[in-house]
Amino acid sequence: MSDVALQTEDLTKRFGRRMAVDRLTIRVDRGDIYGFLGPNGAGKSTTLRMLLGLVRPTSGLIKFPVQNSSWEYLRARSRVGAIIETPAFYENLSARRNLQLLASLSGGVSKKRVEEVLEIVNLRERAGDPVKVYSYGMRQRLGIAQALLPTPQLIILDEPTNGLDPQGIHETRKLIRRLRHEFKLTVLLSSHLLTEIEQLCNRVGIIHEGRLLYEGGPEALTASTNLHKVRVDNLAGAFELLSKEHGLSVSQNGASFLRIDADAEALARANALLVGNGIKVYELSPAQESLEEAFLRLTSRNELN
Amino acid sequence: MLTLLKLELEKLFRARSFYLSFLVLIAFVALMLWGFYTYAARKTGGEAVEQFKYTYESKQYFNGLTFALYSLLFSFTLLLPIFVSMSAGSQIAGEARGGTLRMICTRPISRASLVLSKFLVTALHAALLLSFFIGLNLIVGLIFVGWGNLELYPGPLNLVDAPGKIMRDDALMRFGYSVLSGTWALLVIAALALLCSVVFDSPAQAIVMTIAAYLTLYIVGRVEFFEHLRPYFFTTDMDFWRDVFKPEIPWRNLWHYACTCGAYTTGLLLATVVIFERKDIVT
Amino acid sequence: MWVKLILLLLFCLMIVGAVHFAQPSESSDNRASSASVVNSLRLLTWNIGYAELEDDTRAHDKDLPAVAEVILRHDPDAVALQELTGKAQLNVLLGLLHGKYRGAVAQQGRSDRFEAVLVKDSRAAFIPVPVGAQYALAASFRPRGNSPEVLVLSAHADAFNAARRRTYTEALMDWVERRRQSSAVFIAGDFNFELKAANETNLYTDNLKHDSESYSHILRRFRDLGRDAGDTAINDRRIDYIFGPPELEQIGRVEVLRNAAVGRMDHWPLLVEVGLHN
Repeated sequence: MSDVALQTEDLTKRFGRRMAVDRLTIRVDRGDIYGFLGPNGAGKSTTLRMLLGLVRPTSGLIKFPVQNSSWEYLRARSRVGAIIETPAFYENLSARRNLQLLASLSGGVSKKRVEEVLEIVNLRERAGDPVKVYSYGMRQRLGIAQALLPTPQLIILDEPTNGLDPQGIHETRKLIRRLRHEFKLTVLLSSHLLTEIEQLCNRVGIIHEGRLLYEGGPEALTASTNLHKVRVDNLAGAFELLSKEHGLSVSQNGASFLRIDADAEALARANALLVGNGIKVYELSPAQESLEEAFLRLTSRNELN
Repeated sequence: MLTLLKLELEKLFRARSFYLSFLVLIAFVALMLWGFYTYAARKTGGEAVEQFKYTYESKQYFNGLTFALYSLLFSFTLLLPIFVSMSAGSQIAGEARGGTLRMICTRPISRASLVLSKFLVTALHAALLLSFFIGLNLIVGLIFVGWGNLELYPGPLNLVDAPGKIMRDDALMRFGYSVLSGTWALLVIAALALLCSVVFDSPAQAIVMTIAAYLTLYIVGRVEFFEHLRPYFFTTDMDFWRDVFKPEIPWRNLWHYACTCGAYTTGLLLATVVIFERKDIVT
Repeated sequence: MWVKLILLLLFCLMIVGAVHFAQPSESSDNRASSASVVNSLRLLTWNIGYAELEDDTRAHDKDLPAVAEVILRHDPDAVALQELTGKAQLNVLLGLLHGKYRGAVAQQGRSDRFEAVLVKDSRAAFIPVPVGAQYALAASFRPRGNSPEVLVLSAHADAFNAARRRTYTEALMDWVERRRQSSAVFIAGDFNFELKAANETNLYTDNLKHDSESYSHILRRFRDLGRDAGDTAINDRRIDYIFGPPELEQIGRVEVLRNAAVGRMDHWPLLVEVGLHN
């Protein structure tokens, strides 16, 4: 059995003249919590909608593990659970009836399974209430419940904590972790919240203006830099001195550090320069870039390009 | 497909608008009864009798069957097409607006089956509305006006070219036929509304566009200025349903227009399926 | 895919069905059966007056040769004319017909225009028909020596008031009712009825109501022989009629002679040929 839960190849979507997704190639492995990160309008939702068959790709491929025909594609998709944006239900029907109706469309989902998923999302006691009286958080949990109905191998969540209060966000994140650990699900979630991705995901795909800028572990994203921090006695003098030096980029990060982006050679030259000019160097060490910084670095570079 | 159909049926029977449409029809029958009484009283007594010796609209002309026929013909002009437009127009666009469409479309079902099941449910709704309406009119006609033979003459209902009569039992059967022919004619509107429902993401827009198209063609088709265009309007073909009330049913003519309406319906449905399958659900 | 295939199949089926059933079935009206026809009767009705815009909307003498030419060419057994100026005009017309026809005009009522009937049969009797404050005219004759008696009426109902048309029709029918037993009655003329079955915009006007009552009243006893011949006057109006006995089975030629009008005439002659049983 393949380790790949989902793969796209050069997936492209164009709405008229606007390129929403541009030759996107991603790979989600089994067991991943894959964070699909990007600012609003980056193409995240469009990509997820393409994966779920809501939007027709202009070109490119979407591959589920077993899929040689359109029938198998439909079958493979039947093992994918999803929430796209705010989950919507038939307001006059109870949560249970909504799930039962959706279960009947999912093929081979038993009534027992409906009760199971209600239990998982902790809505069993309120399952008889009509959805119209549900809070936003409850709807979100019901959304996850419906996504879990077909006992999926892969669950796709589009901005699952969007609009929730802190308590709701906490509960949802806890639930997502539980899905992975307890039910061995692969999760593909999109978000524009870096903290969410940082807390939940073991793999990240960063998308900006429809193009994939990065795919890999969050650690690799932040570690794959030449960023260093320098602590000196004269911060302003050091900044002025290093700013003039070729081959390195310097920035002032707060009151106590300078950040230098430079390779080993340039770093040695910078150190010599500071010491030669009478500036005391207390510390010169590799700096850990935050995901936010990495994200901004990648997206701003893309914009410059 | 069967599951989808069951789902759509449940939604139909749980929708408030479904019951509301029947209530409006009851109100319409009451209005018709009032109008019928005043009209009949005016035409069969007082000045009318003094001025003219003979009238086709005599006391025996006005009976429960005539009442049901008047009521049916008037409601078919506007009321029933509006209900069918509302029912079909909100099918896809309503779900798109509510967000439930993406929920359904992420399930492993084909979009074509979804369209077809929604159409079948709309067709059922139309048939139920028509059966209910005709049944109600006949019962109200029996109780309040009394039964007799169905007499027809050229003019007011534009049904016949020469005066004629349909005997009571035969006339009752004709009302039965009209459920079938009327529903079949209304399916053209249903298919058009469903197409609009796929093209537009707002149910209101879909419904308004359907009704606007229907009314425009209906009215334009009756203005003498456009007489030569009339045969090309689907509203003209839809009129075939009334043929079942002619003393001699022109079967050949009826089948011709029934097939034409069927072609409109299936053609529009086919277009709906093709468009919906290619549609990006971004709502 | 199967849904689309089924829909496509149904669509094709419906088209084939529509085309198949579109072929006109043989109309019983136009069947030319000669089995029991003994005599044929050819009738023509024509309002030879002018359109409203003229100073005198009655028939003009200068048009009479053209009218005579149409009558001679189509050779009807009886002709019903409307809107003649009087007996003198009729005499001119009869002269132009080379003595082939006899004729009379109706008595003068409140109108300044006259109906006339022309027949080929020299033994024909002309009968005034009182219709309210005016008169129509009937001619009783036998088209062939052994054929049954035929009564042809020339009528002209009010052009402007549907209620008056209705009372006129009622009076005319009352008179006809007494003659129906002894003769094959044909009523020909300009009734000015405003009834177009397909034109529903007229549904709520009194005109349609009265005219449909009038028309239906005639159709209780008669058959509209020129129903399928089309419009008989300008502005797409079918206002000239020839009504015949309902039991009449054979209808041969039914034609509106649209090239016949001359001058500012606004009507065309309606020609009907029927078969009469012995």
